[in-house]
Amino acid sequence: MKCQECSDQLLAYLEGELTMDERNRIDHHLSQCDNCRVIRDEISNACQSLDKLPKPSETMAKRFSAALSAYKSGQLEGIRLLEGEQRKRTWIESIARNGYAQAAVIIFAFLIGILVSQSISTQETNGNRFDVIETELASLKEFTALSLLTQTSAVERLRGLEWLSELNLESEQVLEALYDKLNNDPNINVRFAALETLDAYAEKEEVRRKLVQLLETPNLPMIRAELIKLLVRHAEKDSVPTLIQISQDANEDETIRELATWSSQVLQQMNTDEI
Amino acid sequence: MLQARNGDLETLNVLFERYCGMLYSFFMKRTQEHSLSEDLTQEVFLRVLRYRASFKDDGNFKGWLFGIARNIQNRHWEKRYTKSEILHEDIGNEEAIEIVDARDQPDAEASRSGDTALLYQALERLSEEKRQIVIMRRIQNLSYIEMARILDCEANQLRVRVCRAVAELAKHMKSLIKERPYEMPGMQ
Ligand SMILES: [Zn+2]
Repeated sequence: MKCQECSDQLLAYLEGELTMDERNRIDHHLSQCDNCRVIRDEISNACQSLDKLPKPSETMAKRFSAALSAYKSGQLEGIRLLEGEQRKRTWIESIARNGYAQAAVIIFAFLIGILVSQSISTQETNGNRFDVIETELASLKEFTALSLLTQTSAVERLRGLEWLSELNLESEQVLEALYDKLNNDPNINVRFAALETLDAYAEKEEVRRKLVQLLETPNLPMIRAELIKLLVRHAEKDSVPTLIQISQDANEDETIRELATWSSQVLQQMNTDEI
Repeated sequence: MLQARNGDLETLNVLFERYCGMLYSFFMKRTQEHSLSEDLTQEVFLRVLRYRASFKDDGNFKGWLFGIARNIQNRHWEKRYTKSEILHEDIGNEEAIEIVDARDQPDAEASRSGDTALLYQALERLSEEKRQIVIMRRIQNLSYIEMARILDCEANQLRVRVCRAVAELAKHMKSLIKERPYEMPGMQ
């Protein structure tokens, strides 16, 4: 056996991928060749180092499949209609006709896959078009995030919430998903994360109204406590009747009752101050 | 890639299989964060999905793909500088999270140690083709048969090619240690 033939098989040898026969031939060569033994040790060391590196998880591929099927399922029909050569050519032409050198650079960047960033969308002349693209991409991510919320792994669901909070979209579907996670997710961390994400939407009156409604439904005491605090933070005075009811409910958790009493007083106080 | 451009979404799954490991390692080298690297990898492919129509026939797909990756990486750093903290890390630190797949959790020690940085550096010294097969075999732990399917080549040839690539990687590691003898005390 020549050295080249031996060294080319050393990885498979170390990995146990060779037949008994092939293995014996390598062993025989190694027993006589210092050079190949050095190479074997080098390959073995490199493999040991590689083994210590973090590995991408299998769920990463699942997530991408989820995104693909969301895309395929036609929920993104609108986006798909916007795609394709024809449309691309039209808007490129329309910008090109305007003759902005900067715009040309932007189109070039777009074509080679460099992505549209905030700095570009601030350009008044053609900002709108890029905003449209960013919005389309955001809805693609929204669908992916929503599909993550249906995964069995809590880590995946948290990831979905995290994506949603980054997107900060105000779609009905997102809000419904968040309410559902807040009330029904089996994992408490996911419920907390859903509440945290909803906090960002609580400026809206309808969201606060819904949260007051959810306060009337059963949930884990820790979640209820956070929900009450959120409503106080957002000065939601419409929650007062519910809070009073909770504070008087003998079946209610003692801490929650105390918190509800305190919160209803604080909110009523705010009320009089405003008047 | 042209097929994907023409709307065959299944092709995108194959492209994902082919390049997700490389992209993940690309981001790991730069961020040292496992979940973040997975998210950024996903982000690259969402953009491939969204922008595949803009890929040119004669273009180099890998170049295009890593162009997107670099851009996402830059945007990520911009965001980091403007936002003091992202939710990502909050979740990472939650001890209470139910861990479904233990393999999801990277070896924290390994990801911080000096020889990890050196290894990623050595990997980047390999040609893209060699880096790809080393990552698939030794980081993603794919079988030669699986790799042969994804890359559309012969398993026996792959064994030799990966072996040569790992031997070359070992040489790069060696010379990198020589170049920076005091910074990498862990590697002897
Ligand atoms: Zn030899």
